[in-house]
Amino acid sequence: MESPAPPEDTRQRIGLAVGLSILLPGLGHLVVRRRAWCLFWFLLCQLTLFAGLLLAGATQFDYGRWFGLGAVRGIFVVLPEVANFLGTQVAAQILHSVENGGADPTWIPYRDLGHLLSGASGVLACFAAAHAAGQVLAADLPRPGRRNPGTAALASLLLPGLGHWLVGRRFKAVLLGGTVLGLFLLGMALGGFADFDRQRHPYYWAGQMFGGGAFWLVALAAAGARFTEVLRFMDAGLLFTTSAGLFNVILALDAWRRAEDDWLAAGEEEV
Amino acid sequence: MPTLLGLGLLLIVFSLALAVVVSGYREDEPARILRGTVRRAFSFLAAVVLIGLAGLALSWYLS
Repeated sequence: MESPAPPEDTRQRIGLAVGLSILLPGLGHLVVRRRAWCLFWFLLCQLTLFAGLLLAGATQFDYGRWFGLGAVRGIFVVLPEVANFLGTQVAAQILHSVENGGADPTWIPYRDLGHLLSGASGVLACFAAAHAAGQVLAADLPRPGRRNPGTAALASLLLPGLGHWLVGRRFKAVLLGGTVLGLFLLGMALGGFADFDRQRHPYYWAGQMFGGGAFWLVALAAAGARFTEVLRFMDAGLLFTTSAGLFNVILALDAWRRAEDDWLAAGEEEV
Repeated sequence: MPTLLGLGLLLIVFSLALAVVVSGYREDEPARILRGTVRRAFSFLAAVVLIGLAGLALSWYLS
């Protein structure tokens, strides 16, 4: 069965809100004049980005690169911070990694926390876009009492499966959430709880970050763990933890979609 | 060195996890999700084993 879709003008406004949010978190909320949300997302994403950069001595920039024409710098790309696009560009212009100044980054005391915060700012920027899209839907097609799709997507970021739980898909919440969390924890165990490490696996780390709040807490708890020997299944562990993070993006998209289906179906019932 | 049995078990676990997520995204009813999970897990597992066997055969042939 084909899912119902919002009207064309609403879809266009959703696209605009998502695009603006990626450019600058919070900007998309201004499409429907949600000023308080705009301020909230702007401050949340920029504070986490800059606090993270300061705590880690801006060593995040060692994992990214400039794209431009010849010697002219264009845009700076570092995953996943670049999803907070303008914030990352400004930061890359004004801050410089202490490592490039000759300092050893492993001596920075809150380096892991710093990387986690700045990475979270990029992931949060993606979900700010989902939230902004939900606000457009709520403004154009109000459904009092219904769970907003943006809230459902955000809940998935908090805990895998929570978004489905909130939109009444309890079976899917337990099955999908349990699968993603189980895969992540199994992967961490296979890697000796040392495979959530940007220094060692920067690209895998970007995928792991999309697991959201639950993953970040585990990463913080295991921040001191380092590989001291070659573990038998550490490669599989890395694959599992990264896949779990990316699977959580699929969970968030599905939670959004089911909530939107219910939202639009409620409108048809009213008609 | 990873053992073949260990890798096989991990392949089964990963195939199931992948199949659960894909089926959960494609379907909304529990019974359909479970049916889809079994089918997709088996398809993925069989594809990986076949590719592995093809790689093994090629390495034997070339060595």
